[in-house]
Amino acid sequence: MIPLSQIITNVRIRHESESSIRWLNADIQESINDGLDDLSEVTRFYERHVSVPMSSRRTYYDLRGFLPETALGVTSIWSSVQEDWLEPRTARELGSRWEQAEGSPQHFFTRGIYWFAIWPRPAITTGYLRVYFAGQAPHFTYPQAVLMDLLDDMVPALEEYALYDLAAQDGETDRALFHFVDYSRRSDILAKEVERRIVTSRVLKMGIR
Amino acid sequence: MSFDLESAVVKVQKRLDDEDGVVWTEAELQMYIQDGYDLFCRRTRCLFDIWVVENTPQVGNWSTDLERFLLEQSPGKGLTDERLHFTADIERNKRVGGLVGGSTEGPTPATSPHEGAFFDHFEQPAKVATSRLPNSIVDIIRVTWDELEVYPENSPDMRMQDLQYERREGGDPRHFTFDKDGFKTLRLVPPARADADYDTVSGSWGTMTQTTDTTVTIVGSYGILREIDGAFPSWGPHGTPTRQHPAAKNISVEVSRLGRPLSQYGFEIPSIYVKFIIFWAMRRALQKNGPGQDLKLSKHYEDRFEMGVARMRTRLRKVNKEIVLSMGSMRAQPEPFGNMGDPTLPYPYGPRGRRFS
Repeated sequence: MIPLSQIITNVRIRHESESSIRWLNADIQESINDGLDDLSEVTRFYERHVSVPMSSRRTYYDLRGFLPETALGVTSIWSSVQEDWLEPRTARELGSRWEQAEGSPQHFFTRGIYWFAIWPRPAITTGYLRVYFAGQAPHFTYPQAVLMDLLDDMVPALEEYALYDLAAQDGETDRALFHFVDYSRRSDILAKEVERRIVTSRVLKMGIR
Repeated sequence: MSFDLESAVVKVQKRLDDEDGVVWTEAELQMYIQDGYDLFCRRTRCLFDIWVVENTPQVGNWSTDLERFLLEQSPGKGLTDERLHFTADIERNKRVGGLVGGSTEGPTPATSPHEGAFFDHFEQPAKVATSRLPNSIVDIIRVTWDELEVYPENSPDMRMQDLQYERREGGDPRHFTFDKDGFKTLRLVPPARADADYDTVSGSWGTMTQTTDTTVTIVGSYGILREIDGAFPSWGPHGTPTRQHPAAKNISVEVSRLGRPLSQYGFEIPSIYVKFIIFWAMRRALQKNGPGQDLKLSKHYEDRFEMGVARMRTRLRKVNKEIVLSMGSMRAQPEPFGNMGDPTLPYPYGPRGRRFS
């Protein structure tokens, strides 16, 4: 676990070795939080869920009002009716009359960021759907420490992003681009690593019946 | 943090180190942000919605776009969906070449929704042939009538199938066209019969509080009516429902759309994606001739915007393809071999496609 004050100090030392411009702790913290937003979006490591009540004979569900503002998009859905995961399908695979079928939901597909549909729709109102979504990790607030162990290997990427962000605000374009390239390399590696973990855990989840 | 136009402008000004608006004015930045928002929604198609073409007798109280604009700008003025050009099919060809005579939209037999209730009594035929969709629509994904898919057609193909397809009486819609009858105007072929079973509204203001439908099971004992079985959500989550759209015999148009204008509403996309719109605003601001110009940084922000668009488009497709089988069950797989094609037996004469010279 690495405290926020340590990350700020690291960024400050590296920034001040390259530039004569001085930034407040609050400004550096904001750049780090911007980096955390970007990493959340690139890697999608922060997954949460909400419960949505099922309505009888309803196929489409609008998640606005259910999802928090920090949500990035739906990743998977679990149904309480058969206590199982719904498998993703496209609407085309379900045929042109898919909306008329009734029974226990087995498949789902998403539309845009906020909508999803289930197939077949339930004939009576029973149970709920647990909708999993990738979200934005909570911002660091001083003097809060980094609370997630997963973030330990993300700290170098966060520092690079903060250096890029501060250099861009300094008007030092070349230096900003240099740090951004470094950040991109690190974030790509993290994205692949997180994706591997998520896919592995999902396949294991799907296998347990 | 909830983002709106003002907070986005502050963010851009801070990044540009121009908090006082000396180089870039606030109005200018607002324009860039709105431009980026529209571009992001248009290119990613991230905002899905369902627009309902109400299958009820069409009503209209405006005939030209100027009248529509004036009605929209006047608080308290009711605006109906359709143009009032002519009231019956027999009038369609009158005054051809005039301002309204040659219109392909309509007919629109009434001016107010409550008049629809009298159509049966006076044996007035009613149909829903065309409907103008909102300007914010980017594209149509799917159209359904009575929960059945209605298939898209080009108007020339439609004409080859039926020369008089625009003049038919009401039936069960099987096709739709979207390319001929005016900007963003949907035509159903054959037209619907205007027979969707909407609840009868008593009173002219307030929210829905109860229904006379005895088949509805009421859950709870106080508060307002929130939703009804067999009706579906449409166009926005906020506010209280003033109209419930039945799924039976109704027409739903699944669309992707632009976000609502930022001058009146907040961002509809998750706050984390607002950064891409800020990047677009930065790109345009830094591109402008003058003291703040930095073409290299401008290009960088353009690249970051493009990266965001590409990532979003990939992800919106990906959730459907992430898992195609479950371990131990071998359910249907849409693409069992991915891009490798169907399995073939080994070819005994060396690799195919090699040419010897």
